Amino acid sequence: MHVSPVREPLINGEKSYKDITNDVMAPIRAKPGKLWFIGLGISMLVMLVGFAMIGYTVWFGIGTWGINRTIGWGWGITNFVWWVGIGHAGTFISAILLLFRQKWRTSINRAAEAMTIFAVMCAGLFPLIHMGRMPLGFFILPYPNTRELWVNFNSPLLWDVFAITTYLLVSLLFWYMGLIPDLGTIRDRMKTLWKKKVYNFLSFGWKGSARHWQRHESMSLILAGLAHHHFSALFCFRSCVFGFCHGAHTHDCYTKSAELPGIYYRWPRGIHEQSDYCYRLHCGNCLHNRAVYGMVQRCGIRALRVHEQGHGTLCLGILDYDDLQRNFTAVAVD
Amino acid sequence: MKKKKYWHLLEEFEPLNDVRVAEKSDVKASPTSRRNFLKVMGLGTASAALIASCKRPVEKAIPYFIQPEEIIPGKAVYYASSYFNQNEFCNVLVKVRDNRPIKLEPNPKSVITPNGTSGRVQASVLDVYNINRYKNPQKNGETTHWDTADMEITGQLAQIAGSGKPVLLITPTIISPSTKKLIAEFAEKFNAEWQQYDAIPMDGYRKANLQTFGTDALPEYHFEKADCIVSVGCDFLGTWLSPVEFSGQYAKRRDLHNENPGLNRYYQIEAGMSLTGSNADVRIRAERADYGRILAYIYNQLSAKKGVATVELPALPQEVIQKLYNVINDLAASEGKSLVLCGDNNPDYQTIVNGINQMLGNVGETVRFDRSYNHYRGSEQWKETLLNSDPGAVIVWDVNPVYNHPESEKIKAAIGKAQLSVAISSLPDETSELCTYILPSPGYLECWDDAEYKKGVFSVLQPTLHKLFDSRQAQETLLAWLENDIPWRDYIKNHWTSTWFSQQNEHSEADRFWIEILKSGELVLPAESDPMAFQPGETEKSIQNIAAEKTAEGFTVELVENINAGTGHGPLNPWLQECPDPVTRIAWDNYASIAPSVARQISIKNGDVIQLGNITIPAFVQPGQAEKTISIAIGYGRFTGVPEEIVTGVNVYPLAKIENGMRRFVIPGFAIEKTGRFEKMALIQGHQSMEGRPIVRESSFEKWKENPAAGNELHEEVQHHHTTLYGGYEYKGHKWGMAIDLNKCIGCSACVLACNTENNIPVVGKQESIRHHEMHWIRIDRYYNGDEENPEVVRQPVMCQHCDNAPCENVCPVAATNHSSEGLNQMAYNRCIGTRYCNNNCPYKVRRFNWYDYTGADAIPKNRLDPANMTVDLARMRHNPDVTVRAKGVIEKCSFCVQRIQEKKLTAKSESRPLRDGELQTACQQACPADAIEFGDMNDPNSKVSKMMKNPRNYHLLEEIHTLPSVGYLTKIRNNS
Repeated sequence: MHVSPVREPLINGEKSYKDITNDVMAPIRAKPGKLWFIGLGISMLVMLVGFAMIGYTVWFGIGTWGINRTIGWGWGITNFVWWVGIGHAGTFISAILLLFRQKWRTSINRAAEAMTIFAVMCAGLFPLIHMGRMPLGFFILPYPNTRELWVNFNSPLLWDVFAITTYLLVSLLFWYMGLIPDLGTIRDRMKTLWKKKVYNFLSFGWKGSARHWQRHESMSLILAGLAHHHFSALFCFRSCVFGFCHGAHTHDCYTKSAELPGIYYRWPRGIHEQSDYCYRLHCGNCLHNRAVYGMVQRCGIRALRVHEQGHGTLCLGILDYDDLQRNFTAVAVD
Repeated sequence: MKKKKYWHLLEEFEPLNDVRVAEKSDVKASPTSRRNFLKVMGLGTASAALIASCKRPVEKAIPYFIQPEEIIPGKAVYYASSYFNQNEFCNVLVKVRDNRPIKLEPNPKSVITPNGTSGRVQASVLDVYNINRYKNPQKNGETTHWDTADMEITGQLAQIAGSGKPVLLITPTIISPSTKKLIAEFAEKFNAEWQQYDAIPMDGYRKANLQTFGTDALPEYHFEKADCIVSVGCDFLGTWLSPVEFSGQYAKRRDLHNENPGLNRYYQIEAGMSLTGSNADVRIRAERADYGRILAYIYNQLSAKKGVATVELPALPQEVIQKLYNVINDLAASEGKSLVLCGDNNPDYQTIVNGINQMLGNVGETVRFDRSYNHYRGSEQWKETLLNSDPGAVIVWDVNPVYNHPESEKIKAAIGKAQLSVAISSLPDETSELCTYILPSPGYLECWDDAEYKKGVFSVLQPTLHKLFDSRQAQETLLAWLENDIPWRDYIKNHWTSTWFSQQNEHSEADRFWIEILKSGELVLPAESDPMAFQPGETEKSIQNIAAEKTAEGFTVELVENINAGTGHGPLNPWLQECPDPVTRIAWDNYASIAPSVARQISIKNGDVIQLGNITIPAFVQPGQAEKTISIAIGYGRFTGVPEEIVTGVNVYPLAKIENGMRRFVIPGFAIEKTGRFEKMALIQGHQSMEGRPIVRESSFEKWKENPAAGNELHEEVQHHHTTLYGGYEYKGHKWGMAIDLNKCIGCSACVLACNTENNIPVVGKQESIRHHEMHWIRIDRYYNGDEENPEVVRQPVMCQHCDNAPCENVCPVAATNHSSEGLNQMAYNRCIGTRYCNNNCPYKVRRFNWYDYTGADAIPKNRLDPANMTVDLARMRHNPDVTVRAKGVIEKCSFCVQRIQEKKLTAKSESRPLRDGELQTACQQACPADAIEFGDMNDPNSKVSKMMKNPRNYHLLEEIHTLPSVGYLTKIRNNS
C-alpha cells in the first residue's frame, strides 16, 4: 500500500489487497447474529405502525394531521425536506467529494449512497401521503390521455416530482455502479455455481481489468456530475422556495449532514473490523460539510426573504442575483 | 390622514380532541295523500324511492312516468311565497328544481323586501329537510291516525266546551287574515280563547303607543328619509321589527356613488356591541340601565331648546353627557328628518321615544302610521289563562313557552294538568313533547297561507313541494275539527276574492286575480292610516317613572337576540349555527359578553366559564362592551329537536323577569363568579389585526367631500407602479367582476348563508370549527380600530378575488385551477388531488380544503365526519344540482356562482340577445338586503360594476402585491366629523 508522506493513511493497519478483500467479504459470508434479527424486528414493527398510520390518513383525510389553512403541509414537508437532506448528505459524499477528489470518501461512499436511496424513498413517501386524494395521485404524472391534458409545469410541486424521481434514479444508478466491482469480488469468492452465475449477472461480467476500471471511473465521474447538478440545484432551490412558502419550515442538510458522522461513528464501531476504514478522519471531514451547507442554505433563505420584504412582489422562483451575491459575501465575512 | 390603529384582540383558544362521526339515520316513507297531481308524480316518486330505503346506492335517476307539462328537468321554477317566522318577514321567490325547493331569493316585486333577504330566510330551506321533524301524529308518544286523533280531540273539545272550562289556543303572532278568520270560527264553535305569544315581545311598544298616540299600532319607520338616526340600543339592522326592510332603507342613505350624496348620520348609544351598533358613524357606550335616563335627558335637552318645560332627572355620567351633546344638536337640526329609536320593550322608554319623535316632527315623516305592522302582537294574556283559569284544553301551535318563558316550570305543570293538550308543530320542542297529542305540521315551504305584514300589503304563501311525512297544516287541522270539507287553499282563495278582489281594479275576473296574485306574490291596496292623536303629558309621566328607578347594583344582564340564532329556532339549523356571529365571530355557542376592563379585573379570559345567578356560561371579552352590562344571546341551549352532537349553548331565557305583566329582558343585580372551568368556543376569527396593511380603507365624510379618493391614496400609487414583463391577456367577451361597497355592508351574513345554500357547502360542526376548518366560501372579516373601551368597527366580506395574476393558479401541480377566458378563477374539482399548494399560496386565504369526508362524496366508505346529519338522504335533497358536491381531499372556493353565469348566458344565447346588466346575480349579491355587492361584466362600460370600479373610492385588496383581483372594494366613509 502506498503511504503518502503528507497526510494520514486512508486505511489503517498496513493491509494488503487480499486483506481488504477478506475484510469486505467477511460480513457477507457470515450468518446474521441475534442482534440483527432484533434490530430487524423492531424496525419492521415501526414500519407496520407507519403503514397503519398512513392508511388512517388516507382513509379519513388530511384533517387527521391537525394542520390548517395557513400551514397546509406542516410536518409533511418538514419531514420530506429532512429526508431529502439526509439523502443529500449521502450524495455529497459520493458525488461531490468524488469531484473534489477527496480520496477518503471511498470507504464510506457506498453506505452513504445506500443511505441516500433509502432516505429518498422515505422522502418520496410524503408527497404521496400528503395528497388529499392519494388514489388519484397519478394525475401528477404526464401520462398519455385523450383529453390532451398535461400537468402544470409551472408548479414547484411538479418539479419536486421530477426531482425526486430523478434523484432516486440517479442515486440508484450511481450506487449500483459503484457496487459492480464489489459484486465481481463476491462472485470470485463464491463457491456454488448458481451463486457465481447470479453474481456474475449482477456484476455485468466484471473482470477487474484496467479497461473496466477506467470505464468505471469515467462513469462514476459522469454520474457524479449529474448527481451534483441535481444536488446543488435542489438544495439551493429548496432553501429559496421555503423562504417564500409560508407553509413550510425547513432545516435541511445543514442539520442532516450531522447525521452522517453520527451514523458512521457508531455503526462501524459495531462492526469491529470496519473501524479501520471509517474513523475520525472521515467524521471530521463530514462535519466540515456542515459549514458549507449552512452557508449556502442561509444565503438562499436570506436572499429570498430580503427579496420578498424589499420589493413586495410575489414572483415565484426568480432569484435576485445581486441580493444573493451580497448576502453570500456577508455570510462569508461573518 | 390620521393613521388608524387596527389591532389584535385577545388570546387564542387551545384545541380539544374530539372528532365526532355521525351515524346514518332511518327515514321512513310517507304515504301519499290526495294532492296535486303534479306534486305527487314528481316528488312523490322521487322522495318515496329516496326516503324509503337507506341502503340503496346514491346515484338514482327516476324519470317521470308521465312528464308534467310545466316541468323541464334541469330548469328551475320559481314560486312566490313569503317567509314569516319568529316575527321576521320576507317576500321570497322559492327556486324549485325537480319539485324540491332549494333556494330562496328575494321577490323583486315586493314593496317590503325587494333588495334581499336575511340569513335566516336563506337557511330556512334546510328546515324542510330536517330529519328530526315529526313524522306521524302521535298520542302519548305512540303513532296514531289523523282520523282517530281528530275524532278524539273534537270529542274532548266539545265536552270541555260544554263543561264551561276554557279552551286555550296559543299561537305566535299570526298575520294571516284567512287564518285569523278561521281561528275566529274555531273559537266560536268550541268556545275557545285565542292568545298570541311571542318569544321576544313588543307589547311594551304597543302599550306605549297606545298611551302616547292613542293607537296600539306599530308604525312604519322610514330610515331612508332620516338624515339623523339616533338609536338607543336598537338593533334595527339585525333583529328589530323589520330588519330586512330597514337594511334596504338604511343602505340607500349610505350610498355615495349616486349623484346626490345623502349620507345620513347615525348614532348608536348602547351597552353591548350589537350588529347595528357596530355600523354606527358614532357609537356611544352607555350602561343598559341608563337607557331610560339617556332618553329622558335627550328629551329634556330638546325641550329646553324649544323652550318647553323639562322634568327633573337624576344626573347621567359626565362622559355620556359630553357625547350626547352632538347627538342633540344634530337631532335639533334635522326636524322631520330624524329618527329616534330605542330597542327596549319598556313602555316608559318607548313613551319618551314617542315624545321625542313627536317633538322633532318626525311623526308623519319618518314615523308613519299609514301602514302599521301586524306582527308582534303577542302578550302575556295567554299565561294568565293558562296558569290561573285552569283550562280544560290547551292547544299549542308553533310556540315553545316551556323553553323560552321564564315561568316555564309553572307552564309545564299547567299543560300537564290540562285534560287535553294538543301540540301542532313541525319540529319537536320542549313544549310539544309535553302534550298528549302531537300533530305534525309542515314548514312554510309546504303550506298554503296568506299574510298581511303591513296594513294593506298582502302576500301569499304557496307550497313548493309535497308535504314530507304524514303532516297536515294547522289550518287544515282546524278545518277538520270544524268539519269543513273545503280545502284550505280554497278557503284562502275565497277569502281573497270576497274581501280584496273588489278593492282592486287591475283584474276583472276573480280567478284571474287569484292567479296573478300567486304569480307576483304581493298585493298592495290603499290603506287607511291608523287614527292617532298625540297625548301630551304621557312623556312627562314616563320620565318621572324613570327618575324613580333605582340605580342598578352589580352587573346588569341584557338578553339580546342574535341575527342567526334568533329566538330559539337557530340551533335546529346547522347552517345558522355554523355561521359565525357578525360581532364576535363565534359560531355554535352563546357566551356572556363582558367588558375588557372587567375581564382584566376579575382575570377572566375567553372561554372561562362564569356563574351568573343560576346559569353557567362561558365568558367572552367584548371590546366596546359597557362595564356594568353583560350581554348574552338568547335562543341557545335547545335540547329537544336538536341532535345530540350539535347541542350547544346555554338557555338564558329563564333569566328574564316579569314586571308589570310584561317580560323584561334586562335584569340587574348579578355578580360574576368564576367556576374555574374552561370551555372551548369556536372563534372563527381570532386575529383582528390588519398587520399594517391597508386592508380596509376608510375615511370621513368631510374628507370625502373634498377629495373622493380620500383614504384611497395608495390605489393611485399602486396603479402607477403596475408593470409587467408579460403582455396582458385580452379578455374578449365578458370579464366578470364584483364590487363591494363597504359603506353599505352591515355584516348581516345573509350572503354567507346564501352562498352555503347555493353552493352545497358542507357543515363541519363545532369541533372542526374550533380547529378553523370551516368551509364558508365567503367570510365577513371584522376589524376593530381605536381603543378597546369603544372601538370603531369595520367589516369586509372576502371571497375568492379571482385574481388575473393569481398566485394559486401556477402552483397547482395537476392544473386543477386555472383562469377562464372570462376572468374567472376556475376550480376543477375532479382534477384536484389535494396538495393544497394553492391554499398555501393564496394571500387572501379564501380557499377551503375538505379536510375530512364532510359530504360523503368520495369513494371510501365509512369515513364520514358529519356531526349535524347533513348527509342523510333527506338532508341531501337540499343540494343544488348545478353545483358539484366536493369529495374529501378537494379544494373549493368561491366560483362567482359560475353555474348562474352559465345559466344566464345560455338563456341569453337561446333568446338570441346579449346578456343584460343586472340579469345575472351571484347568490351573495342577490341575498344582500343592503345591496352592498354588485356583480357584472367589466367589459361593459355601462354596467354598474364598471362604474363602481372607476369610482375613486375603489381599491383592490392587497393590490400592492400585483395579483390583479377582479373584486373591488369601495372605501368606507364615516359621517363622524
